[in-house]
This record gives sequence, structure tokens and C-alpha cells, in this order.
Amino acid sequence: MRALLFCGLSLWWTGCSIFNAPDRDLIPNDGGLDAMPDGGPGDGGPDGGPVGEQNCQNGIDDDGDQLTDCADFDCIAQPECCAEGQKGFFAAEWDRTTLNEQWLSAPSAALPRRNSEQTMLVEFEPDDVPRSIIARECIPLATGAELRFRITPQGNRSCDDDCREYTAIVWTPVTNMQSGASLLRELAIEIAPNGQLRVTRGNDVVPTPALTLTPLLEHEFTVQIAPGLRSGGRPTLLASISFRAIGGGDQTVSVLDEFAFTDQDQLLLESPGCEGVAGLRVAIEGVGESAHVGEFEVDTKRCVNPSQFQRPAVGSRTLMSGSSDLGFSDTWSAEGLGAPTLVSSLSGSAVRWDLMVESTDVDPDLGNSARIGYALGHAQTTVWDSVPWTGGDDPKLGDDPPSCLVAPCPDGLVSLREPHLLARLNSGSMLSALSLTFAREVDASTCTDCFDIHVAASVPFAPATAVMSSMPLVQRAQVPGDCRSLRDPSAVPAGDDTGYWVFFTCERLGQPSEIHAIFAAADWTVDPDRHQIVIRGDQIGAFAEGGVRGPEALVETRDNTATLRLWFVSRSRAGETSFSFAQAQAESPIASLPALEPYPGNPVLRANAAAFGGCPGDDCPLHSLAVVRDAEQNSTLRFVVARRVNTNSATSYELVPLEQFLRLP
Amino acid sequence: MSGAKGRSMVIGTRWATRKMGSRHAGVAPAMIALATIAPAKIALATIVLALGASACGDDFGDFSSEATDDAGTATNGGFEDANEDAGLRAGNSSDAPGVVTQGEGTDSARACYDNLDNNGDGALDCQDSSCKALGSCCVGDGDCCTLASQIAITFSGCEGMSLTDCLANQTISASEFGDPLPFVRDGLLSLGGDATGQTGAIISDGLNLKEQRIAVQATFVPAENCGTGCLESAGVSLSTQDTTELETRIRAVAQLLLSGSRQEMTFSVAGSVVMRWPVTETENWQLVARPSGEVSAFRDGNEVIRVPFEATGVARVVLHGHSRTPTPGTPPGARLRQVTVQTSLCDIPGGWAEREELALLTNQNMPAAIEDAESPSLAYDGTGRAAVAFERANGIWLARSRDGSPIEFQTTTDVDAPALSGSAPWNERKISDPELVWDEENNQWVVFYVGESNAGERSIGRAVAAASAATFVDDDAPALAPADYQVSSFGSPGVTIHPSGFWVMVASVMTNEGNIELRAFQSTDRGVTWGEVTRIDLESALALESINLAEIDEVDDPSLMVRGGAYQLYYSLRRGTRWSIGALASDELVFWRPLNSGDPVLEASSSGFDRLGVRSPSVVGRDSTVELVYEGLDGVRGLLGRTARQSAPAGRFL
Repeated sequence: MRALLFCGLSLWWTGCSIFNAPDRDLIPNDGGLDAMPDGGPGDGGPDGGPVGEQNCQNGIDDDGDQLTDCADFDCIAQPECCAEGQKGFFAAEWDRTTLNEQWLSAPSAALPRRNSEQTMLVEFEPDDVPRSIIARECIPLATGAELRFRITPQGNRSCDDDCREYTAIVWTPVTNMQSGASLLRELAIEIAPNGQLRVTRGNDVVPTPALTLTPLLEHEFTVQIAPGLRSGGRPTLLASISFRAIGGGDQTVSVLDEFAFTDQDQLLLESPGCEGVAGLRVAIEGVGESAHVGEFEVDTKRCVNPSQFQRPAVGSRTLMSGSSDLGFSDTWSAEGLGAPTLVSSLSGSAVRWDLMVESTDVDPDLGNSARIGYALGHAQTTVWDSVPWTGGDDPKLGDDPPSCLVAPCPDGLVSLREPHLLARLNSGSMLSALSLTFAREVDASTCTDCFDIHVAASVPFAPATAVMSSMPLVQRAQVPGDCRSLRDPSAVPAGDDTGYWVFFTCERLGQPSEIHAIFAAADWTVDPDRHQIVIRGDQIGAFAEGGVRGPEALVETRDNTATLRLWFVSRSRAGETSFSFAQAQAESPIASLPALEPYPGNPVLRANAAAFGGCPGDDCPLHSLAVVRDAEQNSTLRFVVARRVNTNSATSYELVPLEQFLRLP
Repeated sequence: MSGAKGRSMVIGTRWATRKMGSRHAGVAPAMIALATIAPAKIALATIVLALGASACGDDFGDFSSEATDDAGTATNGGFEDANEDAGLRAGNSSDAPGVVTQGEGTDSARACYDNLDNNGDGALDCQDSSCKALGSCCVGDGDCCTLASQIAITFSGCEGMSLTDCLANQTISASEFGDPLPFVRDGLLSLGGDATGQTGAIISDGLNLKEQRIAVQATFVPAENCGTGCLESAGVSLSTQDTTELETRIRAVAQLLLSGSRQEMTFSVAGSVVMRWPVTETENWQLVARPSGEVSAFRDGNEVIRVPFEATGVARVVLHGHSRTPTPGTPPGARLRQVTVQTSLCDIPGGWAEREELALLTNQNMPAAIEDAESPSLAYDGTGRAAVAFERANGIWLARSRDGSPIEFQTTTDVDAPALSGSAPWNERKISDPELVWDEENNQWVVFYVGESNAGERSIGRAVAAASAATFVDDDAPALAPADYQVSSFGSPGVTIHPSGFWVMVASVMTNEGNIELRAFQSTDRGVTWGEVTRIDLESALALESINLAEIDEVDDPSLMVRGGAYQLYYSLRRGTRWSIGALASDELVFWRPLNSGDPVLEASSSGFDRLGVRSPSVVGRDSTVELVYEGLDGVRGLLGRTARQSAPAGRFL
């Protein structure tokens, strides 16, 4: 009954993904080929030349996209760019206890027969009905994994040409199978009795070299799985399969290289084993005695995956507005809470977290009806989950209350928004200096809802100690173009104490907002000649056509190469917000900003992402985010995501901690 | 041009080889080549749908203008010469009244489907005035709808009344909310409320955003003497909240809000401000939400912004606002003078309601549920009773609706006895993929299916069953045999009956070269004999929406429907291991445009029997309802499901 395959059968149907190698370089400007001018060095387009980063360890930007080796999105899936995760995350032997406790049998309770040493599965029921055992535990794959197993083909024996016996190692999302049918196969390695090997996805045979295992000889297989991207930028998983014959020369034979076999949004997340990182189950399926299967072992990896966020194992408490979580007074912070900025440093043996936010005493929804003011608050803790944090009762900077819609209040209130802390740490990762940039409302009589960027060069560490002085940093008149308001500053060091690059949002009347950057000298004097537009929404996709804003920059330097990473809020024309990511590398100090390369898999985080563990209201639109490298676990990025929680009768605001693996440069 | 010519020859040859009424034509191709034009012309002219042209009111002009500059592409619409495709839409004798007229000799057919601005007026295809009138352009268009209701609200004469009474006097049901309540002064609606709450009224019942076009027009009057700190505001919103929720804050799907202190109109979608305009005078504004997923603001009749929005759920029209000093003696805040709400019904292919699993019960005394059914096909008999044919094991079963239920069906035969099984040489190995059709003229069911011989050759068979019969009687020979159409094999058929009475089939075929294609066939004798009409160029159609063809692994299970002046073709599409259902529309079966922007019209749900995929669509349009039955996949088994949507039986531009 089932349909006719288009792929493989049809010349009319142009191309089939399962037969195509994944595009390893996905730079939009070059149609997914490379970043080099056609015909020039490094061009991978029609005129040939390197496509994508050719070598992820040679210290050379092979494809000219200004990203070298593991910093290049092309190298995400490469083993040399992945760190080890958990060794032996999943291991299975074939004793009865293990079989019963770790595996489900389907479609019936019949387990495969084992050899006398219980080291091999040797036979499924020889009745032409596929049977399987499916691991109860999900294997996390979204940050990479490696599966190893041994298999021994049993030769043709009495199996004739119409032989239906086989043994398959399967990656699957399901825990059962219909009688007479195979498991749903996201990927399967199938061995016939004569040793013939084929790789399948669903019912499709994935083209591979014609390979046959030597009958009665043990073969060790390795399946490496890593995150990657399809040509359209959709996050996927890439599988590379190889084997070697034990005692057969030990030569490794490649079966498949970086084959995109399932999209990341099709992975399991809620299943045991995959609560934080999405994955699949592994299964063994077969008919008869086609091959003997030895023990299994799975190691997890930590490949860089910009789309993979997870709740921290430690410090996972969500901080709420309208509560006393941050120790702020309700007089200025009872309602809104957002625009977080985060600093991580060491304080003795503990990690010290400094958090600043904007907050207000009035329902932010009233902002469409009248002016709402905000003030900036500072809180600090060494134990994230222990509330309240040590927070200033008064605003760190700004008026108390900042808004006046309920009670009479003095004239001249000024709204302060979107703080960003720039921390200087000493060699022991202890805090040595803090600077604060923020958006400051200009005179409302001249421009409604307009802001400039200000800076407080020296910020007291104690949350309760107010900032005493600040000064204008970037004013609208200094920015070329039609910026009506400057918002969301994020300052990063340019390197060698030469100054700072200040990223900010340019709000334009009736136009999508943009992200700009301008250089400020070490004394915070800006250089208008060193200004540039960094990201425009229409450059990166429909999800950002409504504008980009809220940049959060991170610069890290190694061997005079600075890697600049930028997370930002992307907004669709319909107002749906998500977070996106871009990065670039440049020589340090960064004299001029390199062009930032948007991640092809953007947006990296949506409001409905599983990492949030759901939404406590009807919907939870994303607002803004902060990011910092964890001072203690320095291969971890800590994010704080501000989101709004809409319930039936109320709105509240949350700061949700998330984290992501990112190895040090 | 050459490509088009090449294909037109092929079409002509095929047509001649299997001229209508000839099941086994067997005419030598060389002989027929010269005789192809006339039959093809007639056949294609007769299948042009008569509804599309008139469906969209008077907003169609010279059809040729978008097409005029189509040189270099398939300008003949795939036919022998320029005059041939005139038969597609021209008002010749075979065309029904109302078909759009185009200039003779122009090459316009493809021009409305090519995603190009052929005449350089800045409008592509269905956006072009010369194409808008096509029925296929109406499908999925949130402006091509039928007016369903309209209420006009005025506040004059309501001094001293509660807003509820004011509206009740105009036979408008409404409920007001907030403290203090809104009030009417000088014929204007003033809002109460303060910084902690707001007031207003819900003035409509629930409106389905996936099916209905909702237009709310209001006259806004600015606040007087409102300083920078005042709170006065008035707005109209579409909100999914109920009354009690509204008192604290509005979470609007879309909103127009006039602020007193800001002296500006704010247009918000899903809580995000999309645009602001300075407003200091009384102005007319309109909020239009379309089920196609676009929402607009109109200022004094001119559309000033249109953006996407999530057209899901049930919304209500809400008038609302705040006032810091909501008393009659103080300077008035922002107010509303009059409000009009129009709702219209559109035809949105992705606008399905909740899904339900079909209950298939055997006809035995102790009915048992059947859980291994595949490839469902839904049809209605002359009395309006639904029936489903489905594939199971090696046979086809027929089940009729139990007590008129749309989801409960009872088989006509026992659990082990199919209503049809293969016994002829051409279908003895397997029969599958049933397509059920009600033959009104003969008061009988007709089922088409794929029959496979022991040699593996697949034909399309036909069998009939009297209205109340339990089993089908198979024809002596296949309705479409591969040898007669010079193809290797046939796949799933989808059949619909054209309003003019002839039957149209779309079926997948495997050519002798191994290609898989969808082809259209026509029958004028209620499905006994068929003539090929055209090959459906699915690849080109999908390419119009920049769909990555390389990621599509399989397309199958066509299901055809005539509705709103267009053919709608639904099909299963597989990417990797996951199935979804897509749809196309056409006016004449030759050129097709993807519906729902090329995205699936039905995908896997997040849970339940179809959580990993949907496939095998069978779509039926009756009155103002379109039903879809399908096979839902959970990774282990397939279960049949049903969903439905309301749609306008014929479109009309508002």
C-alpha cells in the first residue's frame, strides 16, 4: 500500500536529502557554500575551492568566513571540537538482570537468546516477525554521543536467497512496535546473515559504499553523533558510522560520514535520560540468527550546540517579580522585572553572582497608555537558590518610585532601563572593578520614550550602595542614521585596555530596530567615526523581520585572536520574540569590528523551548537575556532569560537561569 | 519555451493514446499525434472550473495583463499553441458563464502561478488584479471571504444608560466589566478604570480566528486636556480572555489603543507594539484580522500596516480603556464614537478544528474496535450519511456512520470479511488505497483502488456497491491499466465529481522510465472509462514557495476536492520518517499553487494518536464544512482521525 518512493526511483524529483552529504558551510551570502568571492582563493562556489572549514585544527580560516577551526559553525560536529561528556553514560551487558531492567522487549515479551557466557545476543525468534529490545533509558544526543558495539555476522547458514533474517542496531523515538513491522527507525545499521551491511532511515536505504562484514569475524562499530545543520539552517543530528574487524587488520572502514538523519526538534526530551539534552533510544531488532551482538556502550559528548540550552544542575531557581527574591523594595519594583545583566566571579571558594535588572512599580502594560518609569536594581548571592538574594532596598540607580500613575509625585523623574555590567576580574577570578552602562530617558517634552546611553564607570560592589555618578556615553546625535532612541547597551573590552565596543539597540520610528556598535576609548569617550550597524533583522530570517534588539556581547581572547559572540532578541513582524546568535573573530585588540556571522540555525531559543520546562501561564514571551561564563565551571555559559508570564488574570515576570556548554577558546 | 512545447507534445500524445471512453485505446501513437489537439482542447476546456472567476466579485480585470510579459517561460500553459490555452479560461461555448476572459493568443495561464511579476506592476500572481479573480487565488486568502454577520454600534441616545442597556437596545448582546463601569456622555463611550484596572465591554460572541475574517471599525476621539501623566486611553481589541480576566489587563491578539497622554495610536500584536502614529483629531480606524494569519490597521480607510499574527483560538471583540479620573465632571479621556464589527467566513486550508480519532466498529453483536485501518476515504451518500472506506490486511472495508456521528463508523461486513478483496489476475496479490465516491445518478457507492497482480503490476480498479449493500462488486477489468497508459504502474487515486457532472481523478503513476508523477484523468461516464488530462507538475508548484525539494523524500495519496471555484489537491508528504499533509490549488488542473505558503496544512500533533505524523488525507467539502479524514501515526501504528473546518462555499472579495 505504502507510497512510491520519490527518492531513488525518480529522476524527475531533483535530489534527495538522504542521498546528499550535508552542506558543511552554510553562510547565507554564498548560498551555503563559502564566504569567498567566486573564483578567488577559498571559493567553494561554482568555480571550486574549499567548501567550509576544511580542517578544524589547523589554525587557519579555510573558508574565509573569519571564523577559525572550532569557532567556525562548520566544525561543530567535528570530534576534535567536542569535549568528553560522561563516559559510559549507558552500558549494557546481556545477563538476564540487565536485559530485564534496562530493556523493553517488543512486540512481545520474548527476549533474544544469549550465548552461554551471556556476552552476546545470538538469536531472535526465527519466525519472520521482527522483534526488538529497546533501551528504557533515552540517550542524550543533542550535544553529541558515541555508541560502540560489536557484532559478528553468522554467515549464510541455511538462509536462502529469500532470507529475511537480519540484525539491526536502531535509533528510535518509540518504545514499541507493531507485530510484523519494524521499529520506527531514525537510523539503523542492518546486518544480513552473509555480512551485507546497509544503513536505513525509515524504510529508505541510505546510500553507502557496498560493504560486507566478514562472516564469523567480530566487528567493532562506532557511531558518532553530533549536532549540525541542514542546508536551510534547521538544527539536525549528524551521524558518522565506521567499523573495524577485530583481528582483521584493524583497518577502520567508514560507512557514513556526517549524515543528517533526524532534526533536533524530533528528539525525545521528557524521557528518562534525556531530561536536559534531547535524544533517542537505542534498540536492537532482528529476525532469526543473522548476527551476534556484543555489549553496548555509549559515551556522551559535549559538542558546541548554540541551540542546546538546559537548566543548570545547580542554581536553577527562577527569580520572580513581585516576590522578595531579589530583596528589592516594592515601592519601585512591585510590577515589572527584566533586562538582566549578570556577572560571575569567585568569592573565596564560592561563585559570586551579581545581577542587575530594570524594575518598575507600575504595570508595564500601561506603557501604551502613559509614561512608565523604571529604575535599576542590584542583587548578589553566592547561593543562587537561596532567596532572598542580597539586594539593595533602594534602586542602585534611579528614582523611587520611578513611575507616577497612582499617587502624586515630583516632576523630573527619569526612567533608567536595561543595565549592563562590565566586570573586571583579577587573576583569581575575583571581582576587581564594575562598570555599568544603561539607557537613560531623555526629556519627554522633546521626545517621548526616547533614550540615550549612559555609563557609570565605577560601580560599588555592594548591592545596597547606590551609584553616585554617571555620564552620557552615546547620544542619538552621535549615531548616524535615523535612530529615534538608543537602548540595551552592552559593552565589552576591545582588548589591551584600548577601550570598549558598545553594542546597543537603535530604535527607529516605524522601522525594525537594529543593533549598532560604537567604539569608546578607555575613558568612555566615544568615537563617532567608529560606528557601525552590526545586525539587521532582515539579514537573518523572517523570525527577525520585526527587528533585532537587546544585544548581549561576550568577548574572549586567546593567542591574540578575539572571539566575539553576540546573543540578541529577534522579533518577527507579528511580535513573536526569540533569541538569536552571531559570532566573529578578529585580531586582538579589536580595532574595527569584524562582520558578525549569524548562526544558520537561528533562532537558538524560542519561548516554547523545552529547556524552560514549560510555561506556568498561558504563554511566556521572551523579553531579554544576560550571559556570562561561569567563573567556576568555565566551560559553561550561564544565561538568565527574562520572560513574561501571562496567566488568565495576571502578568508576572521571571528570570530563568539556563546554561550551555561552550569550551574555553 | 522549448520545455513547454516538449511537454505539450507529450500531453497531446498521451491524450490521444487514451482518448476518452477508450479503456484500451491501443491506437498507435504515430497515428494520433495529428489528432491530439482537438480532444485535448475540449477536454481541458470542460474541466476548467466555472466558479473561480465569479467568486471574487468585481475585482478582476484584464486577465492578460499579468501574463503579457511571460515570454521565455511556458507561455502556452503547456499546450500545442497559443490558442490552445485560451480554451482554459476563455468564454468559449464549453465554458460556463463567469469564467474570466483573457485576450486571445496571450500566454497567461502560467503567469498567474509563476511567482513572478510578469507585467511589472509590483504584484505577484494572486496579488495582481489580473489574477485575483481566479478561484485558486481565493483559497487561503484572508480577504476572499463571505460576509457572515455585521453589527453596528452607536452610543447616541444612550445618555444615562448602562453600556449593557445601550447595546441591548440595539439588539447587541454585550457584557461590561470594570470599576467604575464605562459610561456614555455626549454620544461617546467613555472608559473608567484606573492604574490598577480597566473597564470596557465584550461586544461579540467568540469568533474563530482560524476560520473567520474579523473587521472592527471604530471612531476614536482623543482625550481633552490630558497632560503627560494622564492615563486616559480607549482601545478596541481582539482578545481570547473572558470577562473576569479583562478587568485587570487586556492580553490582546491584536489591539488599537489611543493614548491620551501620548496622543498616539498604538497597534499591538500579541502584546508587542508594532507601530505608533500621532493622533490629535477624531479619526476612523479599523482592525482587520484574517484567518490567513495577517492582521491590519486601517486609518480613515487606508491600510497603514499589515503584519502576520497567530490566527488560532477563539477571540472576542473588546472595547476597553483606562481613566485616572473617570467622572463626568472632569475633562473627558479618550473615547469611542461608533463601532462596527464584521465577520466573514473564508476558506483557509490550514484552519482545522480539533482532531478526533475515528471509532471503527465491526458490525457484529459485540462490536470491536478496528485498530489497523489505513488509507481512509470519506464520502457522503445521497441522504447525507457519511461512509468511510479503508484498507486493512488484504482487503477494503466499508463502514457507515453510526447515528449520524462524524467519528463513529460501523463496518458493513464482519471483522474478517472485507467488503472487497482481489480475485482477478490483475488484483489478486493485493488491493489497497480505496477512494470512495457516491454515484448519485445510480444511487450506488463506487470505490476506486489500487490492485496489484502477482507480477507486481499495479492498476486502478473500480467496484460498486448499492446504497445499502455490504460488499462491492468488482468490475471485470481495471479502470486504468498501466499498459493502456504506457506507464509502469499506478498508485493511489483521488477522485472528485466536478459540478458539471464529470469525474476527475488524480493518481500517482510510475512511468516506464521510473519517474513518479501525479497525473489527472477525466471520466464522463461516472468513472467507468478515463482519459488522461495532464501531468501535474508538483515539483514546479512546490518550488514556488522555495520549498527545499531535496528534503522531500516521498509524496503520495492525492485527494481531490472542488470548492470555491478551484480544485484543491491534498497529499501526503514525507521528510525523513515524518509524514505531513500538504495542499495545492488549481483552476484547471494544469498549473498549481501551494496552499498555506507551502507549509503542511496538517502536521503531527504534540500528543495522541497522530503525535508523530499524519498521512493519507481524504478531503470532502459539503455546504460550509470541509472534512478531512486521515491516518495518524504514533510511531508504532496508524489510527484514523478526523478534523474539519468551516469555509465559505464561494469566495467574494469584501
